[in-house]
Amino acid sequence: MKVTAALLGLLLLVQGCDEEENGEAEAASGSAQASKSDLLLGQTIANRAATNALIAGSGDIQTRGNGNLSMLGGNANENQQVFRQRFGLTDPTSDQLANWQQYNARLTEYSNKDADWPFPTAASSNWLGSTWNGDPLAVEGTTVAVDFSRIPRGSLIYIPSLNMYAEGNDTGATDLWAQSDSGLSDYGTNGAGRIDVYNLARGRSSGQVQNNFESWVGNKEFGQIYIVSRGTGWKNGMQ
Amino acid sequence: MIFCLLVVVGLLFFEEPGWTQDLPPTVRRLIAQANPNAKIEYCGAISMKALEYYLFAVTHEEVAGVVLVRNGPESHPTIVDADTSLFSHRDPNVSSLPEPVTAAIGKLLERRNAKSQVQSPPGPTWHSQEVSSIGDGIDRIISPISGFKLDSESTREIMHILRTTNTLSVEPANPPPGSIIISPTRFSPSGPVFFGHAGIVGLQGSIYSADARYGGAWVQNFTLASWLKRFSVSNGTYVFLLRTRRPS
Repeated sequence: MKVTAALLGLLLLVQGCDEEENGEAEAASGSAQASKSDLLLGQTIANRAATNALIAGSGDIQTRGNGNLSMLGGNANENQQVFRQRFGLTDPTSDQLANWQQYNARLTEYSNKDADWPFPTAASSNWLGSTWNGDPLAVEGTTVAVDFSRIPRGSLIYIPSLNMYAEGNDTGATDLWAQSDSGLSDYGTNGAGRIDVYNLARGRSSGQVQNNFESWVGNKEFGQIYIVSRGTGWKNGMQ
Repeated sequence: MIFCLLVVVGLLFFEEPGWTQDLPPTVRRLIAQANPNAKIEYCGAISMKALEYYLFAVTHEEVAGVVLVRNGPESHPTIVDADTSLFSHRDPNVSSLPEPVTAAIGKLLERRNAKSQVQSPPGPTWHSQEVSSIGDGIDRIISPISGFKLDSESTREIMHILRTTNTLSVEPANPPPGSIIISPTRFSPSGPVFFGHAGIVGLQGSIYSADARYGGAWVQNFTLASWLKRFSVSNGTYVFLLRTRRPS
């Protein structure tokens, strides 16, 4: 029965495609050669398309990240502000973004309610004592777990969809990560792999934290990040 | 009077963006399975006779669209329409949906946009009940140069317009700069939904389009290769070059 329904659905989908192909007669559209004036018109349109384009991730355009990190729970907003003040960080300009390395990433979340992340987290020994404010635990609003083979420990990253700076000082439960990430996209040579943003769940379940995060970011496991500075040098220079 | 009643019923069902307990599980399951990996926003329901229509705004990476699910007394929901827009501004009579339902959808989406403070850059053809601005983005580029406007946010309608006006169909693999590239939305009544998209081919294989991730802002967000990889199999890809003169 299920197979029949699936085949019927596929048939309908295919029929939709055929309908498009066999649509009504084309009145003026055709496959003749483009004239010089047609190509010149196209060139003018292409130039205007480029000059009118805004720079994604810059302050020119409204992104989903509005500086409100409250969905990360706890004092995420306050922590981000103190973090920025301490290290002199401000919303990036388009020039800064152009100079930073941009990567595609699997943007995910974790929280103290995750079954595989007992609190303190299973991976806390990876980063104990490395947080920017000396907190022995993860700090909501500034802590992310990264793949240290792609992003060195302590690097400063910027996540445009959250308008959030973060330090990559957690590497997750490495073995578990490697297992669960096996076969999933890391976006190849232009990929940063998995970027796991720490949330303080408080009254929320693990699943609610995940739903909140995906709803806010607007995607499931896809996003962009910038690496502002590799390694921990940025902290020493700015402290 | 009928229209007012429909809208009121629709608003009674209206909930904050996100999932709601009022949604029948079968509808919830259908919409989730039809749009995996997408952000799904419930916009409200419309009652008409024995039928319930459930409206969803869906965002998946660069693309935004609308899905309408119909559920009858037998509780076997089906997707009755899905596209980047369900409206035809050129010819409002072409919709396959009953006119009061179309009007109620417009009201629900206007309310949704006002509530989420959607701020699309004002353009010549954008309408307040739209969730996508792909046509408006293209119009802002081509209209001052050619005088031609799509005046549509629907991939199906844009496809129809491009096929039936003064354009030249060109090979998607090697499009001249300035061509309009389009991949129309496809869906099956039981899912999946493959939202389409439209944009303008730039120089050196770049593609510009209105991007849902940035409130519909016009950005360079694809290359020809990434567009074909994303849309060709699921949606098909077509490219049209505007002509300066009608062929004799």
